[in-house]
Amino acid sequence: MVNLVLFWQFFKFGVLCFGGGHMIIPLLHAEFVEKTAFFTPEEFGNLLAISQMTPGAVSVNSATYVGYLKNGLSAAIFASVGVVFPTFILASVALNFFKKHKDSWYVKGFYRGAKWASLVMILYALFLFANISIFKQPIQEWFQNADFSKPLLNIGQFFVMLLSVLLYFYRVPMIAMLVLAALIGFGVSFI
Amino acid sequence: MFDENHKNENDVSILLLLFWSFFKISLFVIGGGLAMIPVIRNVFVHKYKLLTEDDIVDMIAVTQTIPGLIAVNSSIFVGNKLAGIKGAVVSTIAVLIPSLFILGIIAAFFPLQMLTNSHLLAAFSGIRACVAGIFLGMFIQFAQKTLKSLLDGGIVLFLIGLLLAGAHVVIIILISIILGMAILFRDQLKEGTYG
Repeated sequence: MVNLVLFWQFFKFGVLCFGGGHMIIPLLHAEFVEKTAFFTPEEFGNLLAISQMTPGAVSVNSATYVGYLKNGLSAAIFASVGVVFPTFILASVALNFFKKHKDSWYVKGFYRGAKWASLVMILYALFLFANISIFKQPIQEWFQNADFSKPLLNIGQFFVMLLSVLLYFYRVPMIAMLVLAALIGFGVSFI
Repeated sequence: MFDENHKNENDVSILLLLFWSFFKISLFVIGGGLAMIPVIRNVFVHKYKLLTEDDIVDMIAVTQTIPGLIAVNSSIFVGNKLAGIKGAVVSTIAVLIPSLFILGIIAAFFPLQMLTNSHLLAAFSGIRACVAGIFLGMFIQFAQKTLKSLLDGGIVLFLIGLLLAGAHVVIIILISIILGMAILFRDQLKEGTYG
């Protein structure tokens, strides 16, 4: 029964994840901290750190973790399948629709607009990662209220980013880049 | 629901390749579904040459427009493209399994305090900076391909302005798609090819 309740809860979270899995975080906070107090705010902070630091999708990671704490392995499976399920149905229906109507003006127009959108989405992803590494303050906030008296950049991380761009264009394997970046980040923290 | 007559539907090797690729991607990529996008591109466009750059552009837009998880949306997009519904299911399961193992082990054995060590946090901050760098590289490459006219440049600048002004991602995508449809419609009217 616990498992089915978890499945249903995470199914709902999955439906509400507009714009990616990290959108699950405020939903989890509302349910497990504010409503049921299953986690203290500190524990919730740890949950976030874990699901973002470990490999894999943030939403699936947090679902698995909450599931384990609630009721072991079986609950973890129920919760993570629950969070994936709505995405699976929606994506399947949408992709099939695009395929069927691929010669219509609206699907062609969609793909035309998609080219601009995906460029802006890459920039959005760039900001998302830069805001929690190289910038001391989220760049969107800084643009709305620029304050030149305080430093905006973490120099070590900024260096890692520039180095990564260079290595990217020299087609260095990504796993090597990530290991190197972790080592530099680790080393810089001792200075 | 899916394209039933997909040419790779019954090809076991492509399903194994999808499973193994997505399993590895999910096992090694830190930073969630967004961070997987450049790796998916690397594996399926550059390494195996099963997808084109245009497919990746479509994937980015589609996976972020459909509500849901980007990691799962992307695995379904690629799986479905290469091997129909079986490919989509196999890829999605492959994305799930590493999370179950890793988080299970952490939940069972590791105290949470260990993860608040400041040097360890700095190492992860370095990883995120590296992912930002990868996206910057991708942005430069895609900008060269996508921005072919003044109109393209103007629209992208306008959308970036919306992003910096704090507009929600989904709103920006919808505006972009509506503009795409409007411009296509206008072009077809001009050429007289509509209908």
